[in-house]
Amino acid sequence: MAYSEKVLDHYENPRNVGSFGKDENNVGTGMVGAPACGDVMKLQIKVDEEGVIEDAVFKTYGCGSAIASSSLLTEWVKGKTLDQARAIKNTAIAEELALPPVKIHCSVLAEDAINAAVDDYMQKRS
Amino acid sequence: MTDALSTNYFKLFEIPVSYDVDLDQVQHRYRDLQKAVHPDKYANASSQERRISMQHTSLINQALHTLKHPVERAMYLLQLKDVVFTMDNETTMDAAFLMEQMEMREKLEAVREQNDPLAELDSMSADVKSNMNNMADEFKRAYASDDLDDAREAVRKLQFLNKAKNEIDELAASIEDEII
Repeated sequence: MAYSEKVLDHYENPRNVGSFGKDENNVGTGMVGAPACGDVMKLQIKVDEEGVIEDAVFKTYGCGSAIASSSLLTEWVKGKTLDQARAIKNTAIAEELALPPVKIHCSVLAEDAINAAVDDYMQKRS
Repeated sequence: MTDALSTNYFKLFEIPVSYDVDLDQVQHRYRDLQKAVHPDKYANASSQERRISMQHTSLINQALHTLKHPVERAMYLLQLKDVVFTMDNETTMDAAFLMEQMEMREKLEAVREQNDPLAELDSMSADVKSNMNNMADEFKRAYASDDLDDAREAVRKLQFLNKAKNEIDELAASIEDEII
């Protein structure tokens, strides 16, 4: 299957690959896995005192579309508030990366991962 | 025989409706069933009888595949309790489980740099197999007590592990090929 140029770009030069300490107070971690393809995605956000995401990293095992979806999402959430980050929809990711229908679920994984990361952070703070 | 088309796979193979299946018994019963509906027997039959024989053959093959498959058998059991789903749309969020999966993938990626990659892969494969057995136990427990959400989550993890096991075994086979 042919990947779009944007997917290839993120796949070959993934942005923000890495990890934060998941026990740190200002870090939220979201993990999600897709059993059908065996993909595992970990997305982490670092949140400042004003509730703005100052940094985001990811680590994904999976196909090019899963890697590109998480890479793109880490770029998008930086500088956003938690609510703004939550509002990002998988359809926007799929559209930006021109994902074919069979790869839409990769963008769903990314959306699930950011929501889980925000939830994790909120839970730590509550 | 026509009734067989509407029966469930376990009844068709005359085995208890349970995750634990005796694979020898299944294989044995498969041969008997296949003999009974073999197209040769219907060479002179009407086109309707031939069509039914073909439907039976395909049902028997599908049943065999499902009963033998560690994940599809579990999915089929859930289906009998009206829990129907496609694996493509499933996700799991169990962080501890996913962390393990990720570490396993990292290990798998670096396995060629090990002194004895085949020994390492053997031990990884055995680990995954034992995890699969534990997960199957978890499925059986949840299924028996009608915790269908838990049973479904166990199926997701079984699928994850089964895929990992296939990947480990495929890599071991390809490394073996290189050595020969």
